[in-house]
Amino acid sequence: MRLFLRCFSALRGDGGGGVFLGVHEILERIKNEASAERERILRDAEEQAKQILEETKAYLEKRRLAVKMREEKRGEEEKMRIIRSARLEARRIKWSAEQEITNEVFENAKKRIREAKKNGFRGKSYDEILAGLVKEAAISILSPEHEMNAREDLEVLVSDEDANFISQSLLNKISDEISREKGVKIRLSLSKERINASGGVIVRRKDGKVEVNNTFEKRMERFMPILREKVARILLK
Amino acid sequence: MASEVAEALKQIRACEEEARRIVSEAREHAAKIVRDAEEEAERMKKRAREEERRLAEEIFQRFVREAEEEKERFLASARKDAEALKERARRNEEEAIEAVLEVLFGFKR
Repeated sequence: MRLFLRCFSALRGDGGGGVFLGVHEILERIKNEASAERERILRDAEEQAKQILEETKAYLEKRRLAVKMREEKRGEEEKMRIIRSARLEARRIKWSAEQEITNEVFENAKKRIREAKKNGFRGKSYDEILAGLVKEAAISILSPEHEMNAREDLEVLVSDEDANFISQSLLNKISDEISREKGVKIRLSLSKERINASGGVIVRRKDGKVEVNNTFEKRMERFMPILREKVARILLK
Repeated sequence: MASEVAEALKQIRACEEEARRIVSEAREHAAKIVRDAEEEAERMKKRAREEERRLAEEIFQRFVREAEEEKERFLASARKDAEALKERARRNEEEAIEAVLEVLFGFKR
């Protein structure tokens, strides 16, 4: 439309004279303008296409950087998580080693009880060891308010195996010692009842109201926190 | 004269028609150029998505690999330390057993 108007106005301006020359010029001009328009349209399109591709490239580069940053952050977090878990695992390995050797100590200590029954321990025979445990249990049964000269009848319970190590004369000796040391009358007797334990004794009042369990299992259980600490200190020194 | 003018107008109209055709074709070609660029941009985006997935996986796996290597170093060192600890502890095992028996037998608390 624009080209047509231009041509028309050119014809009108010519005033009728020299029409043929004018026509050639007009035709030339139309061709030139069409050509120029064609070039402009294509140049614009090329420019637009170039811009589309450049913008896309820039956008993709930006997105690539964002992906890189996001993945590096995610990767770093995952790395930290793996390392944290590895540190925990490393601590668990060391802790397991400590537990393993500590448990070994307790297992071997249990085995050594059997040996102590045969050969004694630190120069003491097994019956002397049992006597010590009976004495300790009996004294702890006596209340501070125990009436002087009142007699306390206590019975001693042992396993079948340990019954061979305790005699009434030994219990009398212990009773005498306690009576002498604590100023109380005490009578210890061996119960016919047998207990299931690897060793040690239970001492209880005849009326059954109070008892002290000094079997090795119970002592192990009672002193376990102290023992674990002690064993760890010795093992890791 | 009238026929000359008519001829001139005819030529001009034909030329204008040709000019319109040229411009129209140029517009069509231009639209194609832009459309091609848009399609190429879409293809680039599609390729980029694939590439981003690959890049993401590659980056993530690189960190995981580094972490696994570090983890192995930690664990190897921990295992070595644990063995050394057990060896050292075993040298003191007898003393520890005796300490347990002292408590069990009522020698000490």
